[in-house]
Amino acid sequence: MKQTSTYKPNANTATVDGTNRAGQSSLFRMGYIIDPRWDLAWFIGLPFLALAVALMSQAWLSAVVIASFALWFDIPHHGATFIRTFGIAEDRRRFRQQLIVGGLVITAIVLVGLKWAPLTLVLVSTLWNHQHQLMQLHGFSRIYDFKAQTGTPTTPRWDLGLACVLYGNLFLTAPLFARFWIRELHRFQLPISADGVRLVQQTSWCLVAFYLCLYLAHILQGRRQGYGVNPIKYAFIASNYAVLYVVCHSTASILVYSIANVIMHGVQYMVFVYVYMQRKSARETRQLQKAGSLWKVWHVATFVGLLAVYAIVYQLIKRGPLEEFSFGLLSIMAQYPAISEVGLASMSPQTRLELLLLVLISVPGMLHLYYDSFIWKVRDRRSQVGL
Amino acid sequence: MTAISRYRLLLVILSLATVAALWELTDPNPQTSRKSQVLPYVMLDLYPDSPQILYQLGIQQVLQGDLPAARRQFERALAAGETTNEDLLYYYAVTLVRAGASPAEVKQAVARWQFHFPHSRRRLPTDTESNPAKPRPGQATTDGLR
Repeated sequence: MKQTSTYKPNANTATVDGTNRAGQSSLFRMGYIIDPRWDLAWFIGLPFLALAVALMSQAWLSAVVIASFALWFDIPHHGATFIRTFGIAEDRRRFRQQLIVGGLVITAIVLVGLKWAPLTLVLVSTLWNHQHQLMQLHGFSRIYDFKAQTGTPTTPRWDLGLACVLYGNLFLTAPLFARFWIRELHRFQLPISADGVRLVQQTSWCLVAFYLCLYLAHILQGRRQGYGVNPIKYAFIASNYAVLYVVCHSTASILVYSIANVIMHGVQYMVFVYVYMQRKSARETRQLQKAGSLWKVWHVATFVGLLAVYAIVYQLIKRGPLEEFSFGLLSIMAQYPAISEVGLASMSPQTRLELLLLVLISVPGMLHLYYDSFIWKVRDRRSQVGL
Repeated sequence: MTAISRYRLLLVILSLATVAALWELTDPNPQTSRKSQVLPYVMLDLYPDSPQILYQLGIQQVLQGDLPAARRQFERALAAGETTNEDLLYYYAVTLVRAGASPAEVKQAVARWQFHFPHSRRRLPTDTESNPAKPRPGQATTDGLR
């Protein structure tokens, strides 16, 4: 789908609520996701706070803290996707087919992966997580241009390239991530040497420098043609990537990275969903009233869902065999036999229960990754209403 | 919007998962391949001070029976701030026990492991059965790196 510009050079810059920005410098036009104060707090300052919290956690708290931050920041931000996706009747109708197909396909991927190919499941979810993070950072930067009516018609592509280059370089060069892709290459019988890795990483840094020069030239060319620049967008990009680079390159700690990342990614997302829902529902109250309440739309699904949850809870409390869920057709145990050489017993009922819970928490996580790929489009006029 | 563009990302994910799963199913034990055995040396060359690498070196030295050297590697890994690797914290304490370290040092190491992993189901390192497996006769020294 082609990116299109909805504005013209030198046009009066307007905020989303239509106020004129006359009087601002024509080179720099400010536009905010929320407002100056809250943008500074949530989108520009937050990464530094996240880094400080992560470093303090490493110094004073136990490793359990990773799970706690995941519980309070990562898991709720998955829930925010579902609120955003299912909370607006119009969007439920628009994306109905994708929501159903996505749910079925991703549940199948997780189930099949756990049963037959666990390494593949780890590979896919890890790579998808990185792509998702890249696209969230890119998406927020695009909102800044949308709100300030800045950039040229080709800026969206340049911005996507910038995100790919910056995040791609981080993925290739940071030791925390390099271990992953080097190991996977060896697993796929592509045994890259240490010198080969260094060559890839040096090339990647050169590419970043080259692209940044090209990007700067793009901004200057746009300026000559009369297009404005939103400095808040670049402050957002700089602060978020600076913290990511510092965390991934200067600390070898998974704890510091996990906490900083989960706060940055999760909190920014939840704040934005809240703001989006407020704005969109305020602007579309009439349509929402026409569509009826959530309960009216979902009463059958809610009823069936409640029964299913009841059955699952009952089975978990009873600690009955999990195979009963699938009429004995699916047995996760077969994938994890005993390894007598190292004295490892076969899977215990407790571990089977934990694996089932892993399925239950992995499906929403991956649905969050998938739904976000199509519900957020800055170029989508109907989504723009809530921006 | 066409069906292909609507499901573009899902199709990419599905394709990637299918290819990777087929590879995994047809190569069920990749650690036995000669190429995979090079990996630890590549990582050691690239990141000699990484806590993960230092931990693996320590385990290799445990398997070789060189407990003082293993202890040094574990302590370097811990000094780098690694707290999320339970194996490191646990086997450091076990190594201290096996190397005959002072009770105060063992107590401190055990306390650190229990602080970071309070719900661990592992035996106390001071239990005799907690010691890591001794190397089997003829076992390659690189095994411990994996």
